[in-house]
Amino acid sequence: MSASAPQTHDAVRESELRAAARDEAVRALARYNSPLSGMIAPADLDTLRLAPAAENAGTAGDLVPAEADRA
Amino acid sequence: MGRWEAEIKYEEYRAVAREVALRFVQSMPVWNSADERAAVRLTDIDALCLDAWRRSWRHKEFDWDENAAHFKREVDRFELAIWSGEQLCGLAIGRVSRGPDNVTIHFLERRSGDTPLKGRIALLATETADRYAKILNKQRVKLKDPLPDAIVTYQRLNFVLVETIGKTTYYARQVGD
Repeated sequence: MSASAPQTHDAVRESELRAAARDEAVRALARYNSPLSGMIAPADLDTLRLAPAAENAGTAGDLVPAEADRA
Repeated sequence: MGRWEAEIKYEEYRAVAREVALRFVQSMPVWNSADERAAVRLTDIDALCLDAWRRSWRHKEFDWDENAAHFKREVDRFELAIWSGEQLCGLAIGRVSRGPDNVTIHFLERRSGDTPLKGRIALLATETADRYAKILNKQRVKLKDPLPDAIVTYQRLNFVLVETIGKTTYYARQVGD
């Protein structure tokens, strides 16, 4: 677990943050979607957007020393 | 946004990049069998991964404990562990330019010997970096100082020499190429 994670953070907040980030990422990739780009079908975009991020849960900041945000 | 929130955001960005790149590479005719293709897993470089590296890689070209400690200071870093089932086959790590230009892979290493996924590690790493660059709206994927023996592999993946600064070389490819 992150050395910099707030003591009071909760799973709901983390889940919301992950869902929002995932949605941003999928929307960014959709900009590049074209038949020639080897990218992903619209149905797959929805699947990605909704995919659980279980593999990452609780690993935020793993191995990261506590430090201030990068300027 | 605090560090904790930022770590979560970029973890998810990398997770989506990995998922999309893996689907793409799995659709390519580069696999010896369906089982081989299905066994590929891509993850961040976490403690479990570093433990596997310490235990199972006899030849260690780079110090991945040191690489992880160094690059993980950057919240938006690029990092990738490439697995075949439970076998760690490859590692990549790098950083993102401050401006719109690039995601740069600074270190990329395949487990030596006749390891699973031999010949597909660079492909998986550069395709994942490509998707991560797209998510971050960067224009290029760059490779810093590729080993001479690996350059022909990167050239086959459409990377070209773009910059030499002193003894440091950079190869690059536009995203989507």
